Amino acid sequence: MVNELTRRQAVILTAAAAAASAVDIRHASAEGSKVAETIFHNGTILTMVDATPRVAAIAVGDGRILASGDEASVMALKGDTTTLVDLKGATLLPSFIDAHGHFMNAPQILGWVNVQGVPAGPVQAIPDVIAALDAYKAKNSPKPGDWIIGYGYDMTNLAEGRDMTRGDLDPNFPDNPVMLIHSSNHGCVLNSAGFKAVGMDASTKTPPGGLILREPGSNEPAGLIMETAFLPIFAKMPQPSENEMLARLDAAQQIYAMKGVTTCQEGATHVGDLDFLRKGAEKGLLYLDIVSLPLFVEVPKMVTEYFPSFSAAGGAVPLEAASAFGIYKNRLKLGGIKFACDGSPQGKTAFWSKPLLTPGPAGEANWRGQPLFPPELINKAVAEAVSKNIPVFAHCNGDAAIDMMIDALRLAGVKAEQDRRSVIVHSQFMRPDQLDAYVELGITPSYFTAHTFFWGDIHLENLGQERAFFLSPMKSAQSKAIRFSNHNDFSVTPLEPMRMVQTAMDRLSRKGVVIGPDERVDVWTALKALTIEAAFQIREEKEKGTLEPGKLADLVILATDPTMADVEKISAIEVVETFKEGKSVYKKKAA
Amino acid sequence: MSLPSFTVIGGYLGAGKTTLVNHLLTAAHGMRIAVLVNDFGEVNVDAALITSHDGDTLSLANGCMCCSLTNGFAQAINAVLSRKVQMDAIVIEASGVAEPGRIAQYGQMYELPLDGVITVADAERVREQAANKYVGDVVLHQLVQADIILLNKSDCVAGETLGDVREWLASAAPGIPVLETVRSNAPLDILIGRGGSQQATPDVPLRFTTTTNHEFLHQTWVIRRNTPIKRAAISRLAKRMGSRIFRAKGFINLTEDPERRYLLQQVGQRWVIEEAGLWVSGAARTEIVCIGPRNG
Repeated sequence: MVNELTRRQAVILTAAAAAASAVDIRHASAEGSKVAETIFHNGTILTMVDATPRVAAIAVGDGRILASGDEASVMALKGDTTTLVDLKGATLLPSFIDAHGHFMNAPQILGWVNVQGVPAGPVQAIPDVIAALDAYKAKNSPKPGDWIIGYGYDMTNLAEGRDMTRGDLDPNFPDNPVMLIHSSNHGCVLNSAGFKAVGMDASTKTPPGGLILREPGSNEPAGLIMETAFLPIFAKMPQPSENEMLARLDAAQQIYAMKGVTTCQEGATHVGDLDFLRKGAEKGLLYLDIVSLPLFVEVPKMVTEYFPSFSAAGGAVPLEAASAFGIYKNRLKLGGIKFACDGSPQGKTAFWSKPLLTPGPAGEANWRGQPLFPPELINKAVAEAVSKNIPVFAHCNGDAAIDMMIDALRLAGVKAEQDRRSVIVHSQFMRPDQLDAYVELGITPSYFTAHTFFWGDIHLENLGQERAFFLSPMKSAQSKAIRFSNHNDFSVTPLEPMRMVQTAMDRLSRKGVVIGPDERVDVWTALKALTIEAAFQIREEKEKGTLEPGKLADLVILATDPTMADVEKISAIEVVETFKEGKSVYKKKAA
Repeated sequence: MSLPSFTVIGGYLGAGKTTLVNHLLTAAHGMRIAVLVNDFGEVNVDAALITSHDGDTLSLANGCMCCSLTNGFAQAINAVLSRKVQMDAIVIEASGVAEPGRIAQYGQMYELPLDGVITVADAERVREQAANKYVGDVVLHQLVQADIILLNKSDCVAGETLGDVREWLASAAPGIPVLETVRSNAPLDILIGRGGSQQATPDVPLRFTTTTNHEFLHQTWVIRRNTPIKRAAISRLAKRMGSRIFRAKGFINLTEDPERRYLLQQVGQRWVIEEAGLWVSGAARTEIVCIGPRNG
């Protein structure tokens, strides 16, 4: 262990020295004959560096930032070939880093139609659902019999106040089976062609624990099926082929690029996902960086696949595998191992130390959720990761789940001075005392302030004010000098960096309640949580997260300066253009 | 075609579920059992017995198979049910923190008859686990949701302690029959109720294959009655037997319907009585075979 650490520290020091020398070289060339490829000026430039938050211009070359400062000194790098970008008052800052989300959901949902409610989708009433499906049909011309699948269906978004039926869908979709997957992923609405395709009719019995809504006065299925009636059907749905999925990689990355994100996270990677991403990377299909976190229960399978001669018994990881972490290959990096201790608070499957004020998901009294894995299993796998110096990322929503991970890290001998940056993803319903353990163990939380908007009212009802108001406690963490990022767990909530900024600042629920007024932070802190702090958590703060000479030219141009905007308008700020290492990867079409 | 029966094996990490699964896959019982497990790595089957290994499925020479739950329960069940040769029983090994009562509902999605929920408890550690601040609730739920509890590793604790554990179990999971086991060596007749209603054929008498065996702490006995019995009396009998038997099954000559025979199947405190065709002329009499703890 001591040897391991020394070795790792040596590696870090070498890397740091290399990075430092790179900056020196670039400084030298900046002073010498180096000519910028691009210079950005005439707008607001937010560096995300505390000491020098704003500069007048930056110069970019070879995919990196060459210089940053006042107009005159940066313009010194201008040559005949330099492109001068006039920001025209727009705002340039480091592009955003997805601190936690699920990249593999992007190619999946691209084959589906978004029928979520506003603002995550276009739906306010049934005609909006039909219109979205029509648009898909017009664009993709599915053959008769091909499925049309919508995701994010929820009756609560429909002005009609009723569930959709096959009768709503049949007129426009007589020949294509349609499935509208419920926002819980536990049910769907089918049209007549859909019921035919899955072999469900008036003679189908409703299985225990399931629901098949019937048409009034008959036994014919009406449209909605849930739970045990749905899950066997969903498991048999046709899956896109690998080639179809590879063909979607560009559009998948555009979901990120159009929001100004250039480092994406695949935050719960299964063995098949890793095979797929590696294939995509090797084919050169990635132009954004992807950080993959293999799920700890999948690690033995990955070890067996990639290191067939190594015995993966008991979850051991070979040293060669450990050394594969932390390095980009064709834009794909293994960032750490992903653990999971509980479920979701809105689904009431998170794990709390004290019961909810409302019944559990199946009506249980005194429900406080349950752990997803036995602590012994977590402790062992965390100890193995720590002993091999593989970063730990752990999904924990409830305070009991957080306790489990604190225990595991403590048992593994983790201490703050080792600078391991173990990330507790969500850290959603912490207790105040747990912040001290974060300090002691050097744990860095990735918070999820968009919950205040999407589920704040529900959390208040389930947990009461004291616990709900301490959701993603950014201000309290900041007061203890804990570094934190912010994420929106794509595709659990839509990829919206600007909503993350706004919710970190106003913590306003849909009903207009401020979910924890004391935990609101300022705009600079909110922006850092998407840039330099997110870079810190994936150990890329020397390459990304601020506009400083030597760093990668990963940039975003926003139409409006969020530091000057009214808080309630921040979510709506548009991305004008996104750059990955100096190259434009998204540009908003002129209106 | 008859569907396989459905058995859930629950219990906390390290209790002996996987050992039990290994027995089920390899013992010479003549049944085609499909076992669904979370982790293939722990399943220990002699390579010579494996006839094919196709991704998430292991097929064995004795007709049994083992399926990984990697891609979810539905995928695994589909793999089992789509076999040309129908399996007799599906056994799912629940994860160490799963509630087996919930997993039991999964089988109902496919209308699989629930044969039993078996919870394995570690005699040495179950009390400590039930008091653990993270998993205590789950461990207790696993026990009360069982039809039968296997108190495993009973050889690892002193007789006096074993008595304490039994006493504790009786209050933590009242009324649930407990079988003490060593290395999960429970007899198949207790684990799986063979000859369920779907398999019952009129001319084959239903019998448990084991008799009292000194190796195990259980025995079988038969309740016979030549005159018809009222349905209410059978229900009272089943209720009374509840905590004192692991399983019971047999044909019943009901006062209310003497022309037809009825099949009683019971596991722990749960029983069903189903109609099972006409009596062969002159054969109408009640005969219930019980298997329960010795001195139970």
